[in-house]
Amino acid sequence: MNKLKKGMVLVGALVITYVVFKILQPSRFGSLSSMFILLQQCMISVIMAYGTYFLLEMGAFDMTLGANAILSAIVGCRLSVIFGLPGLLIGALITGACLGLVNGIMTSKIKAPSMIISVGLVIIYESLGLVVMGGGSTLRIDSQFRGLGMAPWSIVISLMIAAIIFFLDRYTCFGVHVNAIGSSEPIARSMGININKTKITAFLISGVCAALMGVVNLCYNTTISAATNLSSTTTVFQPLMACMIGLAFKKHMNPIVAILLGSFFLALLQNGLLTNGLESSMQNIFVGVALLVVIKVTSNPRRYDVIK
Amino acid sequence: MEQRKVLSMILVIAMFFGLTACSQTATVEPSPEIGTTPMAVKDPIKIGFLHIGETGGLAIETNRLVDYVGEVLGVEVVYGGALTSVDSVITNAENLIAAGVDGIIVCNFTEQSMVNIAKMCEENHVYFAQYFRTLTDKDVIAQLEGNKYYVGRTYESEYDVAYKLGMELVIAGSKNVALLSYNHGDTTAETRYKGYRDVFNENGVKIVAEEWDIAADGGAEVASNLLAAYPEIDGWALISSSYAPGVRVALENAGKGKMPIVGVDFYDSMEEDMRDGYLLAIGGGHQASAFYSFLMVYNAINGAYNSANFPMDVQDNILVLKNYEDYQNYKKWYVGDVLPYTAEEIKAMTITFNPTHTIADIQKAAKAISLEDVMTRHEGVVK
Repeated sequence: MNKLKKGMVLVGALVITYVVFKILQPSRFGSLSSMFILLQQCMISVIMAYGTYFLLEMGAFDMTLGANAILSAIVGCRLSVIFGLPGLLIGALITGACLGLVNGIMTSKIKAPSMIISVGLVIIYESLGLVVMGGGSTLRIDSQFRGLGMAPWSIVISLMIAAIIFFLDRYTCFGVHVNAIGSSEPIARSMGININKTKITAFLISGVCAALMGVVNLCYNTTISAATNLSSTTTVFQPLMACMIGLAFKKHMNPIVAILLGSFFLALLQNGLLTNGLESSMQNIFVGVALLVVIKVTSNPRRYDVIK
Repeated sequence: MEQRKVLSMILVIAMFFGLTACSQTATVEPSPEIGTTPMAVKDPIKIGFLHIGETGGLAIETNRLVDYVGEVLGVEVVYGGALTSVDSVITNAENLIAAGVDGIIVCNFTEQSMVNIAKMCEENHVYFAQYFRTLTDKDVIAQLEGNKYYVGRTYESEYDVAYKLGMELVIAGSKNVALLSYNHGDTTAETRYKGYRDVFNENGVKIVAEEWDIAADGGAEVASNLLAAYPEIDGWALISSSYAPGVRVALENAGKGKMPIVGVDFYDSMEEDMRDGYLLAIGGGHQASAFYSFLMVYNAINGAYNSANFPMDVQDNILVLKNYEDYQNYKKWYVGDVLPYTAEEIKAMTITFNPTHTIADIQKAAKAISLEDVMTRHEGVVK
């Protein structure tokens, strides 16, 4: 019963948020069309959120995901000019996988916190993005690929990723190993689990997801610019928050569903605040506070004790 | 032990050459003829450039023009890090001074940061000038008053350009406008906002929604949300036109069709947006701002000006492109193979090549610059 109650906190938060903003702005907030726009937006960021799931589960952070998404999208965009859709997808996914692999290997080999290593790598990836851009400031994707960034394709892609992550988490040794490492790395090691291999695989998955999110986002926005001065790290925060919500509710509901609901909750909250005329900086304060409240209500206090 | 001796010898030799190189001053016979030989050049001059970034149309063209003027005048341009935050401007200025630059041109984040920069420059005898910016804060002005190294500033009439662009929306028949901007508190953003607000108030246009602090790539998301919440929106006034591609995407995704967009600062894909009729008018092309400040600092280093006249003001024009033909002309005449000023024209604005140079030369050039001005001056030069 308690489990069900806590699981309903997220659904309740969604409903309350909707009702409150609907009362405040009855004519402007919450129309079917605006909810559909929000769904499309959150379906893009949720791809990255699913990618970070295994990493966060193990207490690892990857701040390069934003830079990865941008660099992969730039490479895909360039290749799409020559090879069309295969160039866009394969080019981006291979780039994302390579970057994820590099992150994983670096984190395993350099015995330092993943957060610190990834910040160093962000600088490199952002600079690589500038190099691949080749001097111009913006790349535009051919209009024939725009459908990939919009419903129904963006939703189909997100749901496919959700299904894959669910399968990996629930039905593979990898998922079991991730859970074991997340519970206690020393015990997992003593059980004979290959920690490095599991972590590298998790980074690889997150890299591929980031690349896919980059492609979908590129197709949605139609243009992409290289990021500089660590600005790509801001891309990571929203998916990271959605993933944290997913992990916080893991014991009470399916985390894959919780991540999706969490992502929609954040988008709904921001949209409601925007409709009420709050500036972005104030919106961020509210979103941050809401995140803390939701996690406080449900979380196991030990989960975020150690960030490796 | 042997290795240490060798290393010590190398260091001594390096230091010797370093010292003798620093003491050299290349002196060339003065020439009254403009654009031939410099009068007396302190060699090498290093000017630090606190640039606005490496991406974005304005940043790329600004950097290109500064690189070019450096090349023409034989000045080493030292990039001091992009403008990212208040702290970064000050830290980057510190680093440039530590790197031994003779002058700095800076686009400051806030006016308050100029107090720190001015103090550092005065202590280290480094000339400095602002570009894209002026000072409006009385406290800051008072603190910089009398600084012998604050050569001046080049700035644009941000108010006027926003007013002109807003008027284009009025003429196009917009009645309910959405306004998108970057951070509150930025002098440029606030001045542009006033320009838009005044022209809309005077002509009965309502700003139905305004959103600030938007990230450069956040236009699509914010515009989508605004379109859903404010279906009456029929025009977009952008403090920075970097949001224009996002607004276009939002309009297309929402099936709203074309809606007039105006904004300040040129961006890369504006050609498509102008051609396709999404971008009604755009202000920008003021990359020469850094160029003028560069010349001011260069001339100050070479003793061209009386510091009693500091700070000197240079006001340049922001171009306003109203149609695709304007854009084609801009592309051909302004950012093509030949930049807004040729090497000869640049030299004519420096004391080293033109002994009769005064600040009025730069002020006149900045005030006159426009698409028509460049097309007239470069007729026969640009093909």
